[in-house]
Amino acid sequence: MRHSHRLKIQIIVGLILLTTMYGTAFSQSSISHWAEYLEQLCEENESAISESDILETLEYYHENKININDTSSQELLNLFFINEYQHKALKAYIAQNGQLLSAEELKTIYSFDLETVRLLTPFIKVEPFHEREQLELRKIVRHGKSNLTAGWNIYPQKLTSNADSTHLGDPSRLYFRYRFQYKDNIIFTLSGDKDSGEELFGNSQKQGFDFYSLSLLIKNIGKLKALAIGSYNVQLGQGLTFWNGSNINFNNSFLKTPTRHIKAAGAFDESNFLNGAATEVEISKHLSITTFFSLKHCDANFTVDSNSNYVFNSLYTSGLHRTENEILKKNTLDEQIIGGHIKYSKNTLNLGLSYYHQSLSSPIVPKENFYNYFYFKGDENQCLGVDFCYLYKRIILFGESTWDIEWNNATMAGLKLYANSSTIFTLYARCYDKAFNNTYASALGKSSNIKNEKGIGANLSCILPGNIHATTNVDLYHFPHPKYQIYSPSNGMEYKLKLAKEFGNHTYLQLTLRHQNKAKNIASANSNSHIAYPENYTLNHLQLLLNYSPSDTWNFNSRIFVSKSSNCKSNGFAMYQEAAYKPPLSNIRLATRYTIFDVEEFENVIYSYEQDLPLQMYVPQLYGVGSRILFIAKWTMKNDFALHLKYGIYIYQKNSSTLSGSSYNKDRLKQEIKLQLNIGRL
Amino acid sequence: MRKKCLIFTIFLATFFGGVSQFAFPVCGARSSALGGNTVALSDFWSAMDNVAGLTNISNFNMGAAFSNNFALAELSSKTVAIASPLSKTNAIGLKYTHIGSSLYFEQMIALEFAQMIGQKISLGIELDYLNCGTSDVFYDEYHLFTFATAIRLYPSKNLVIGFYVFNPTSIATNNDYSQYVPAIMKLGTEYQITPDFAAYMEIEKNMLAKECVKTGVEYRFFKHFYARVGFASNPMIYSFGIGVEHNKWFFDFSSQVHTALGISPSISMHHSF
Repeated sequence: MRHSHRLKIQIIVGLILLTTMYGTAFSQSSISHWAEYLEQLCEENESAISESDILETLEYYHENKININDTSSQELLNLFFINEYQHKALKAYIAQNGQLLSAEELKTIYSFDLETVRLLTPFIKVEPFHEREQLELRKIVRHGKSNLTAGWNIYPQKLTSNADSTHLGDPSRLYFRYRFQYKDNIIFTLSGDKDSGEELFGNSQKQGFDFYSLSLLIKNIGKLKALAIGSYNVQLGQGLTFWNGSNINFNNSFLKTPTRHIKAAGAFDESNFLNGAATEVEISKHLSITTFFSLKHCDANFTVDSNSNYVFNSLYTSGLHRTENEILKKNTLDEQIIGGHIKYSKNTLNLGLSYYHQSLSSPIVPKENFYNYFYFKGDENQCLGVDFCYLYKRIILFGESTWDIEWNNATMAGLKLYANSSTIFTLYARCYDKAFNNTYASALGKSSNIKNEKGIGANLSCILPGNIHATTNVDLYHFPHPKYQIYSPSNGMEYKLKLAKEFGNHTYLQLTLRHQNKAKNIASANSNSHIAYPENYTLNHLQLLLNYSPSDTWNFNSRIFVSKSSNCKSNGFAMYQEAAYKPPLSNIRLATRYTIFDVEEFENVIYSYEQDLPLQMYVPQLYGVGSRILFIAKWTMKNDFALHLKYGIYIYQKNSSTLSGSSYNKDRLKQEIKLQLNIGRL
Repeated sequence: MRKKCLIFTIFLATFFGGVSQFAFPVCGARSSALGGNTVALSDFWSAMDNVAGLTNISNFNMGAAFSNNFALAELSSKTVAIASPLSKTNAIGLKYTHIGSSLYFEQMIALEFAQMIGQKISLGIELDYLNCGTSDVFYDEYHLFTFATAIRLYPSKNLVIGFYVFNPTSIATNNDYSQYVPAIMKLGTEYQITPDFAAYMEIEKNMLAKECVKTGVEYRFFKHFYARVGFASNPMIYSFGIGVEHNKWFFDFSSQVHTALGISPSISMHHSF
């Protein structure tokens, strides 16, 4: 859970980089869309996502825009919010009407709704395309690009705080990443990371950094569609059988159509990756086979039984090794994974058959608890799944069904209807056995554990009169067995409405309403009883966004958040104003934001993503009463040298310790300073 | 007398209860009549509340305002201000405000500067001196310095967006931070629906209070006469007022009705030379 939360927080930060650090380069609507998705990921504290791979992909394509007229390339599909059918529709459009003249023309292609076009715009260019170059070693050596990124994060308040006295290392974070890349074909990455509190060349980290990552990914060389050595991710089908790495449900589509199943792992992702080798080979025009093998050390939480034997309770995925206890968890388990995927693709039909086997060096034995009776136990698991995706006229049908080693089943299916260029309807359902166990499942659902859930949902996106873009989503679900903090079967629902309108080319206004009804344990009325029982409560969120970008030089964002839980007496409130400045013909970019927040009860907590430095992610969790001030600066020189600086400070009038009754002045100020150097451009 | 004691007790409790309130009222009866909307208004007095608006003035201006808060002389506020353009793109202003009486008082002097950037952006900064004290010798008198920043945006001819933050660092009045001056942030818009009719909306967040939503409308019912009504949510206030403009003289009258504490009449005037 903690890992999940951390990852979510990190992912937001990365997007910040992409949005504001590069200032106004991102379109106004893109900023709002990214923010929304990422913040929601933070709120849904139980969905597992990875951060770095998404971030690095977006960052690369922001700097190296994809020529939308190059239909021979698969690069567009690396942007995970573009599915294969949209890509096919684009190709068909160009074949019929000729090459696109502007990005606006995308809106006329039936599967490209306005939101997709907005998300896509920062990463594409529209230029005449002639012929794709052949991959040659000479060109790789000559035209391949290298980039070295090194950074240092400082947290001044931790230098004097007693709270971190158990940390063996200093409170700063140090990291580096070297990457060599030739277009989309070759990616070589070497990275190292020392988190705050971890030692550097100390007794516990004699190798220097706490985490190193090395990976090589080669793509699209003849029949060899992908070859990965070192750290990598594998993403198959709809995610029920095997999905490793990032998983963001953009645009509420719930549809995944990964064209390439093997991806580069995030440079600083310390747990959500595979380590070994993987290949994807195109056997024939319609058939491709993916195989992968991974052997890696894992961290695990453990206890010692009466016979002094270690009993491993769960995997420890935070990647933090700051204290003696955390270091003891490091590399305590070995995990071996072997798997494969066969994909049959003809016309608009995709069929897949997936299998993987996982074995651990020691069995996992969860601590006995009321809610985890059906959790994974043992040292071996395997999953077999079939998936499909079929385009019939303007309807996409998709689904996947998976069985684990004990033949427990998980199934999801849906349809997506492109009624016209602006109206998209999606209907989806899922049914996951309470005893289904798959560590590597990452599909639609209300929790990171894909199990013990039944649900149905629908999503509608359309244009209302007045050129108002409306998106609404409803999701109804049932947990047949107790869950963490829900000690009985329960029901829940979520409803979301988003209205957006552009005024001219410079002003964008968006209103988002989100209503949730879900269950949670309530302490017993009888104080002598330890029995907790769940009750349903409601949680409402309202967000208002106003973006104004009068020129390429200036960009302003104003945002208001209100949250209210029925379990709380008061509501949560936050408001910020952001300004980004990119002087014309200058190599300096500046951004600043001032946020004021008043969230006295944790259930009303507000997540407000903010920009950060490249490769870093941070989503402030606004809890307490206070303000936050942020400054970011970037200085570039000769296009291949860049220096980034970020300074952020929380000024609390009431912080979390105050709200829980602790001393007032503790941690009144919370600061961070981040420096980063970039040499070379990808 | 009971009401008087009640209101005065509220002020003293606020002052000695851990925070310094610095409850400066909005400047000008026009803002007061519009429910307290200030941040996106376009006139001399709004410039005194959102310093970025100073760039709207084209001549030297001088004005004064008086508000009899809750009809109590002890809580009345007085403001005098001057402002002048330095060039076509920037302006400077000076404001003095006093609230209270010899028993308890707050006063502020603000030096303001605003700069227009292009045609659609105006930025402003304000340096503030704050003074707060009481006749009781057991309590210290505070002398503080802080600042405020502001932005005004003009996306179109009939739309203004305003942002203002006062005392963003929440300066403390003592060494252990047990007393402080709260940060205040405002975000609002002015929308000119027709040449004679405008609507205003603003959200204000004071670190010490729940957020307040303010709305107001203004209608020019005769060539130089304006009628205004407004509403604020926290505290719940209704307001109304009129304005008269004649030969570069501007007079505004308003009353705010607090649902618990009663009426607060205001008057302001300024002259554009």
